[in-house]
Amino acid sequence: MIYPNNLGMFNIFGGKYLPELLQPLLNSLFKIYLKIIKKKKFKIEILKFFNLFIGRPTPIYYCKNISNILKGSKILLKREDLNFTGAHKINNSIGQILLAKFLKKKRIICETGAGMHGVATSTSCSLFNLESIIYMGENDYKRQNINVKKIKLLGGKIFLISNGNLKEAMNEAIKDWCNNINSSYYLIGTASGPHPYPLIVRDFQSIIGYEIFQQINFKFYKKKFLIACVGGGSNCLGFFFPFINTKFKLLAVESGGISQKKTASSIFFGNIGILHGNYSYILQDKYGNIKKTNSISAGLDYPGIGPEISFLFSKNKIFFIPIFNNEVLYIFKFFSKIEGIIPALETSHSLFLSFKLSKFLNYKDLILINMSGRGDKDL
Amino acid sequence: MKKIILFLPLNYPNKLFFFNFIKKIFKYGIDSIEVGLPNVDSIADGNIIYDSNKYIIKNYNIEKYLNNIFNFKLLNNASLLILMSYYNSILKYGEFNFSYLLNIVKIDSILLIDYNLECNYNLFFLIKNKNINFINFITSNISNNKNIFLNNFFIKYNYFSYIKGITGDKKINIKYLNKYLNKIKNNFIFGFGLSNIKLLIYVKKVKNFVIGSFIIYLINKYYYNYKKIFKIIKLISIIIKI
Repeated sequence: MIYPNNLGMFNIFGGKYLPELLQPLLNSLFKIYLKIIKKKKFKIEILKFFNLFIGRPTPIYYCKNISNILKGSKILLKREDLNFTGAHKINNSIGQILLAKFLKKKRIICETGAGMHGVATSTSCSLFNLESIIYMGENDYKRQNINVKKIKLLGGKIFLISNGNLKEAMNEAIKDWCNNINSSYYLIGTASGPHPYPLIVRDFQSIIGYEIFQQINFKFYKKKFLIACVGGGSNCLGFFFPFINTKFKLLAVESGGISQKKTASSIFFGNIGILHGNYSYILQDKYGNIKKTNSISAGLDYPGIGPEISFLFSKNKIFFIPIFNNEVLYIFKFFSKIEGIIPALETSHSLFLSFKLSKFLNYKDLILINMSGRGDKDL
Repeated sequence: MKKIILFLPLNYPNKLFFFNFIKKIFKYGIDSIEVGLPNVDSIADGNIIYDSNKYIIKNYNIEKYLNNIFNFKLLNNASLLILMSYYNSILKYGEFNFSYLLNIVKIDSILLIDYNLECNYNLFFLIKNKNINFINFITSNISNNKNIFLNNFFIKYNYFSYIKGITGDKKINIKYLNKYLNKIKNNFIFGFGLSNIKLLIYVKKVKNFVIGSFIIYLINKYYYNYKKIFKIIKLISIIIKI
């Protein structure tokens, strides 16, 4: 198991590079989180919500049609899209809302890209009778219209950021938090951001990985590959976390965008820097200003990556591959037709890699993909 | 004697206006200038400064910009110059290179909004070695332990921000503020959240003020009639310095 130090540093990655105004809040949140997470009551309560409200454990599905066509390895899906609200984001939202409730905060701020985190937050806010403020970039607002309608229906207030994406939404959410520190709780949906958020998000999302251990008997398979898509890193880290020090090969897929210049792949085309309070791999120009990203999927349209993932990459525990927009679109259509499941554009990234990889494997090998969300939002 | 510090993003709204403006501003009661290096993700700034950064970021070049400041200092004998920036642009440029450049340009003080001394102290010592004052950014919600920790490092100046808000976004509560000002031992500059200047007459402990978003607002409004800006600044300095 890998844990950060008290300042949230995974070796050089991580930390809390934010204005001093927010430091006391982050410190107290970390202390309280460590206290709460050990309590049996909290564990029972969160598992109750996971089971009865979200519908966990989510099943593992064998893609028979695709596996037969490719004649390679067996392709399995961890069906996180079957969670209530249609993505893995609700695992973290419920957990953090319980934390916010303990901290007696009544106003929840969050940012959203694909809208899934926005839906999950507004859902859990209405469950606990809290006010939800959701920041969303204008570009994402246009392409994720279904989720916008859902957020509004659930009582979430959406604030639009003109000409922005997930990064700009996160900037605005941090500003709002600076202005309302006494009453508000900032619910970050991704494993990025200042310490202790990457740790909190990872812990709540790691239920995805732990469930898999109970669901599959890995002894039957020779080579085992796990594939997940990476934006900020919540679904990837939650999926990979229990498998980090095992013999499984962990493959993370970034959005390559259109080309090297118009991309969202922060590991492949970026370098080390500070974004949203943590030291990690980011997409930046030579003067340290963050570049505009380009990705077909709103959830991966983020110029940074979580500090823990950067650390694992630097230790060669996770391998990264960029997948480009045209490849994603092809798989999105093809997979829906053949398998009868509409994958989210984010998940289509990992599906494309599994198709490529499958050719080099045989029926005794296994590819397990985290199906992070459902694709009706992308239609 | 109370001091007034003026904040402007570098080259805002354009190079010609910026340098002409700060050249003349000393006559109207401004004691020193804080220059902000433009940053796309200025998370601690309000909307006015955030928008101004977006406007000037296109031709950003840190060496060119600091060269302009160097020339300005040579020609105008500016007394105190504070440089405000975010940590990432410095990290990208290289901490050692940046501290070397600051020494050449003869910047008096530097303020990094998102720099955390606990996480990384390389830059702090590099800059201290060059005899440049490192300004810390503190707030009224700071814990006692952290305050003591920071006071050990930052001797000359602290940069104080009011708890409720980032630049120009919320009104201040004088009683609340006075209570927290007693906590601070070192000299400090007050700014961030300063939206009502008249109220500050009552804050007796504050000796150094920084005015930022209000000046940008004035520039945006009276760009073609900039003499009006000088009049307003003079009026502000008279009110504060009484």
